[in-house]
Amino acid sequence: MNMDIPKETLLMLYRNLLTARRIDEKHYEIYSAGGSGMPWLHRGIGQEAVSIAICANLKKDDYFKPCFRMRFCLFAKGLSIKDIIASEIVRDIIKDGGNSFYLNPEYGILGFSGSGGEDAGFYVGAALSAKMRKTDQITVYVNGDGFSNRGSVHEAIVAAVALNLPVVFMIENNQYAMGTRSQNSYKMDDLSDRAKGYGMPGESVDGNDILAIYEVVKKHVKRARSGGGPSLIVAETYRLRGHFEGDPQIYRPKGEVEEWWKKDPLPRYQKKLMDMGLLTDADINRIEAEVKNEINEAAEAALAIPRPSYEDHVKTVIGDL
Amino acid sequence: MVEYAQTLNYVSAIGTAIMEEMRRDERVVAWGQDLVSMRGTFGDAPGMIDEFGGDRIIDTPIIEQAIAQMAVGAALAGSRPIAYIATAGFLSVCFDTLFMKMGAMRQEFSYKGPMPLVIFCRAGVGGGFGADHCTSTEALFMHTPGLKIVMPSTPYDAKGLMKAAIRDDDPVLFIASGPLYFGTKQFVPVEDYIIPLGQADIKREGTDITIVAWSGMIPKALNAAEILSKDNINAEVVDLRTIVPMDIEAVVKSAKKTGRLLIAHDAMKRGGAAAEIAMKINEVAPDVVANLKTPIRRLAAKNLGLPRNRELEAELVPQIPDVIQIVKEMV
Ligand SMILES: Cc1ncc(C[n+]2csc(CCOP(=O)(O)OP(=O)(O)O)c2C)c(N)n1
Ligand SMILES: [Mg+2]
Repeated sequence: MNMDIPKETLLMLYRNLLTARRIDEKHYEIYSAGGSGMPWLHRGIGQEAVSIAICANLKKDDYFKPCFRMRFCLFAKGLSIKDIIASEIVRDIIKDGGNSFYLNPEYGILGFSGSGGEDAGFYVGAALSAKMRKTDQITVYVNGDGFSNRGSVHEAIVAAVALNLPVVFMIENNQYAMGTRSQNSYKMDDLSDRAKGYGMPGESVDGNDILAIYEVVKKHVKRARSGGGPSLIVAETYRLRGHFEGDPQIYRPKGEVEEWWKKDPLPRYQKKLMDMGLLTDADINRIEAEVKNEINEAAEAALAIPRPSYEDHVKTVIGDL
Repeated sequence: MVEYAQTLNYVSAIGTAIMEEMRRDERVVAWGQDLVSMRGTFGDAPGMIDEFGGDRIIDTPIIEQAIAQMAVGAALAGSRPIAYIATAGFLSVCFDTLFMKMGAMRQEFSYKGPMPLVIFCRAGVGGGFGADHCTSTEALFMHTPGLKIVMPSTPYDAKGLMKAAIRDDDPVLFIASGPLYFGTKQFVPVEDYIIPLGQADIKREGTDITIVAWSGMIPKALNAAEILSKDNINAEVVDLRTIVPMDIEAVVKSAKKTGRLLIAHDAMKRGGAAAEIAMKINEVAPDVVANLKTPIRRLAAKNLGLPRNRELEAELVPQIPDVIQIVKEMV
C-alpha cells in the first residue's frame, strides 16, 4: 500500500513526526524550568502520528481541531512553531507580528474550548458554511476518548449526518480520560462501531502507525470533499505521560506504559523508512540537527516575546469595565 | 470507623462532610469524573474512597449534562445525590438543567415534594487556567428562583455548610473556592455540626465600614482589614456564606453600625451579586441606606473574559490592594 505514497510525502511525514516530538519535549523542558508563564502542561508524546497524518491530508483553510493535548502539531498545517510555543507560554504573539494560534479562522482554527467538546458545533457549523459558500473546505474534528462522550459532540454529529456535511470525526483513543480508562466509558471492542448508530461509516486504525493513519484519513477526507458526507475514524494510541505533568497516575496498571513505549510511532516509522531504503543514518542525523535547530531558535524567540499587557487585553471589552 | 485529623484544609473538610453524611444516610450518593480513579476530589478524607468507591461514589464518563440531569432524576426517585461538575465554568454546559429544571421545574409543575441534590464544583483564579476553569458564575444561578447557592470561605464553614446542603430538601449549588482548597488549615470538630443555609457570619468586627463578601474574597478582605487597621480604619467583614438564601438582615445590621457598605466579589461586576445585594438593602432598609455616610460601592472583577494568563488574571480580579484602595476612598 505504502508504495503509492510519493517519497517526498513519506519524508515530509518523518520530518513532521520528529518535529512534533521535539516540540513536545521542548514544552516539557520550558515547563520544567519554571517561570515561563505556562500554566500547566498536558503532553502529547507518543500520539503525534495521528495529527501529523491528518495535517498531511488537509489544505491550509480546511477546518481542523486536534485533540487538545496535540494542538502543537498544527505547525504541520502551516502555523509557525514560534507562534505555537509563544502561545503556550502566554506571550503576546499578535503584537510581535505573529499569527493568532488558538483562534484563527484563516488557518481553520475556531478556538479550543476549555470545556471539552463544546466546540464540536463550531467545526460542524464551519463545514455547513463551506457547503453553503460552495467551497471545497472540509472539517476534521478530533477529540480524545473522553470528550467524545460529551452531549455537545453527539448533537454536532447528528447535525453533520442530517445535513450531509463534509466532516471527518475522529476519536483519538489514548486509553485514558484523566484517570478513567476508555473501556469504562465505551463497553465495546471497536469504538468505531459507534458510527453505525449515527448512520455514517466508521473505521478504526492503529494510531501509532503513521502510514496507516495517513491512508485512512486520506480516504475519508476524499469522501467528505466529494460530498459523501460525514464519517468516523478511531485512532488507537496511548497517553505515555500523566494527564498533566505532576499527575501521580495511581490509576495505571503496572507495566502498561512500558509496553506502549515499545509501540512508539517515531522509531517505528524511522525503521520502516530505513527498511524501505529511504532513510540512512546520515539522513537521520542531518534531519535531527535541522529540526532541533529550528525548534531551539523558535523557542528562544518565543521566550523573548513579552506577556500580553493589561492595556491590550482590555481592548476586547464590550461596554464598560 | 476511621479516625481522622481535626485540623483540616478546605477541600478535606468538604470531603469529610460528605463522608460523614454518607455514613449517616445511605441515600447519600455521589458521582462525577474521576472521583474514584484519581481519589483527590474530596481531599484526603481517609478511607472515603475505600469505603464507598465504586458503590456509592461512582465515576462517570465526561458527560456533564447527564451528570446534572441524573441528579434531578435520582433526587426525585428518593436518593440524595451529590453531582460533581469540576468547575463553575463547566456548569454552563448544563445550564438548562440547573437554571430551568433545578431552579424552576417544581414551581412550573406545582410540585411540593423534595428535590434533594447537591451540585458540587469550584471556582476562582490563581493558576491562569482560563475562563472555563476559573470564572465565578454564581450570579447566573442567583437569577433562577429555586436553587440555593453555598460559597464557603473556611474549612469549618465548608464542612458545616456541605452537611446542611446534603440534608436540604431543595437543590443546592455548592461552589467551593479552588484557590482556598489547600490554604490555611483550621480546627474542624469531629462531632456532627450543621451551619444552616442563609446565615451570614461576621468574620471580623469593625466600626468604620462593612465589607460584605464570600468565598475566595473573604481572606482578601480580612487581609486588607488588617492592613487598614494600621491606619486606624476598622473594617467589619461579613461573610454571607450562602448567597441564596441571603442573610440580608446581617448586612443591614452591620451597615447600620458602621455607616458604610462595600460589597466585594471575585465574579464580574456587570449583573453580579453585588448589584442584587445593594438593591435589596435599599428595599428592606431604606432608612439605613439613607443614613449611610457614603454611597454603597462595589468591588468586582472587570467585565472581561478571563485570559489564560496568571498575571493578567490578577489584574482583572480584585486583590488585597484593590480592597484597601476602595475602602480608603470611602472612609
Ligand atoms: C466539559 C469538561 N469536563 C471536564 C473537563 C476536565 N478535563 C480536562 S481534560 C479531561 C480528559 C479528557 O480526556 P480525553 O478526551 O480522552 O483527552 P486526553 O486527555 O486523553 O487527551 C477532562 C475530564 C473539561 N476540561 N471540560
Ligand atoms: Mg484520552
